[in-house]
Amino acid sequence: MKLDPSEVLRVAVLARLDVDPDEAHALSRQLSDILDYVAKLEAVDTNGVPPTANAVQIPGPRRPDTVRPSLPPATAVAGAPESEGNDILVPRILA
Amino acid sequence: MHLYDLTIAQASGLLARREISSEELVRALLARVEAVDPLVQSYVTVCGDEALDAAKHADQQLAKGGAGPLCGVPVAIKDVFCTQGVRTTCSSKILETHVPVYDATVVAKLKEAGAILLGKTNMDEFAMGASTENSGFFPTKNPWDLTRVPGGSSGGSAAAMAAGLCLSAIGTDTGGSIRQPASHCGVTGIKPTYGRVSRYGIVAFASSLDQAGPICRDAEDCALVLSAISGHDPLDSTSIPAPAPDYTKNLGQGVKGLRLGIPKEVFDAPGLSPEVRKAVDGAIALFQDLGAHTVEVSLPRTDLAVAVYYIIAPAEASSNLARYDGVKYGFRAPNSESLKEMYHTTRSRGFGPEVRRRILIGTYALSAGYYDAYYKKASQVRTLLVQDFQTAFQSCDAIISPVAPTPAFRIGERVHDPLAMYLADIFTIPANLAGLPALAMPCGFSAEGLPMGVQLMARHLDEETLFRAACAFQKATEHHLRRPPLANERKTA
Repeated sequence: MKLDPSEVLRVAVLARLDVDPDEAHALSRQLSDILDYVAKLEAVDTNGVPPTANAVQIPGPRRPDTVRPSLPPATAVAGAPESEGNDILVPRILA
Repeated sequence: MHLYDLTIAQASGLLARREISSEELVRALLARVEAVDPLVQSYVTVCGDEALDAAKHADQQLAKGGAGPLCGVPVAIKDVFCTQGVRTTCSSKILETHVPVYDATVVAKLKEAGAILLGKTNMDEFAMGASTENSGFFPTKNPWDLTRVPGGSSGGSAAAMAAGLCLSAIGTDTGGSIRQPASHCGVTGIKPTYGRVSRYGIVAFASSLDQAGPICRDAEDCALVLSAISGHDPLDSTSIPAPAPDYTKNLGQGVKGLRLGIPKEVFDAPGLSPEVRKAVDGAIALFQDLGAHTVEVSLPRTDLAVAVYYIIAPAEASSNLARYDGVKYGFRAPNSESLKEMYHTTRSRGFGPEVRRRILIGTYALSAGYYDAYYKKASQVRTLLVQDFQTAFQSCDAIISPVAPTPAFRIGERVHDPLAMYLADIFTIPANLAGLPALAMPCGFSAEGLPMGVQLMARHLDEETLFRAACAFQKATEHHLRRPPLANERKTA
């Protein structure tokens, strides 16, 4: 499976990563190597085999829907790169 | 014997009898870190003052009597665990200044048991790698040969343990990241059953595979630490709702009658070095001498495990790492005109090359039109691998194999060949895919003096069998008692 540089650039946009054209060529080679390697799975007959998302199955846990203590707002935003009061600041979203 | 060479079992005896204080022990370790870690570079952050304060508190507890076996014992924590008030970086530039506001459950349990947090250890960025060369800060060196890698991703933890820079080091293991570095550094480590140890507060890499566990001098210490950190946690929805056993109870029971499975395909794997093979064969012979029965078992799809892993792990990672966008915490690229630009610039400057590669592979594998061919297919083959183990465990109680195909490789040797690096995990990945507990311990040394490891895998929640077998092995061998020349030659502490 070949992942050409233009496809690398398309995927990079989906992943919100900047990739410059030189890097796209190097990544194209490395990612194609990886995809070639994993292509061996194509030969495995998986008809009717259910997928495994998690190898240790436990029932979905439940808890009462009650308010419990949580982080105070000032603590919750303490790690934000930019904040004002209890709000996190980000660049303008709407034009 | 130096204080830094003690096992936890030895140290806790001395502490309980007040023959040494926790403060003395912590000071000895800090002096050792100061003298040796500039060479090994296992720590990202050393918590000297905090550790001494905690040691004084532990000494008060010890003076009262009745303290547990970890009280006053200095431990190192991989920098993937959230530590309240202590920087947690995942060895990534994107989290370089991140200070969590809460403790991971593992850290909280260790503190509750009186253990002392000595510092945070280096790792491959976001735990992606097998050499610790992918750290965003600096590579850690193997204490047995400073020109070689310690393995990864918990390379800082394993190297710190081997070099006498802590009495136990906590790691995480998504595809071998506890066992492979433990093997390369000549120490003992266990990846418990998936769900045995809470993942709450562990920075997520691949959530269906990640599991935390201890790296120690020997299996007895691993049993002590795992007893303290395992158990049900309502804060982790995949945590197994079963009480945590005391793993130290049946350590001396031996292996008489234990059925030890030998997976023939694993031993025929291309790339397995003759030296490693010979060392593992020697371990099998010793287990037979100790009374274990060997049976041949088949894991016919072993050669597919790495391929399955390198779809599932990056797919989960690409989703988990979407949270690093410069908004809520961590690095934010300055002067962005728009939110989208901020996302792009922050992530591009914050993530290193291997993390970017895996995000791209994972994003591709999950993208429209490719999901069935990659992610779904890999998840189906994963089912077949799980079934192979179920069949194998019908005729045996534990499965033995090498940990890594070769002893530790040289720094720089594989950095330009990601696929070659991935194959370092060929024997360890299957246990993660199947959620099985697996232990790695030293079983010999190469002609060049490098440690080599043997792996034992068991059924879900059967860590006890692993500890019992490993303790019997270590009672009969001295590989785990050897120290790197670094530890013996330098006069410190």
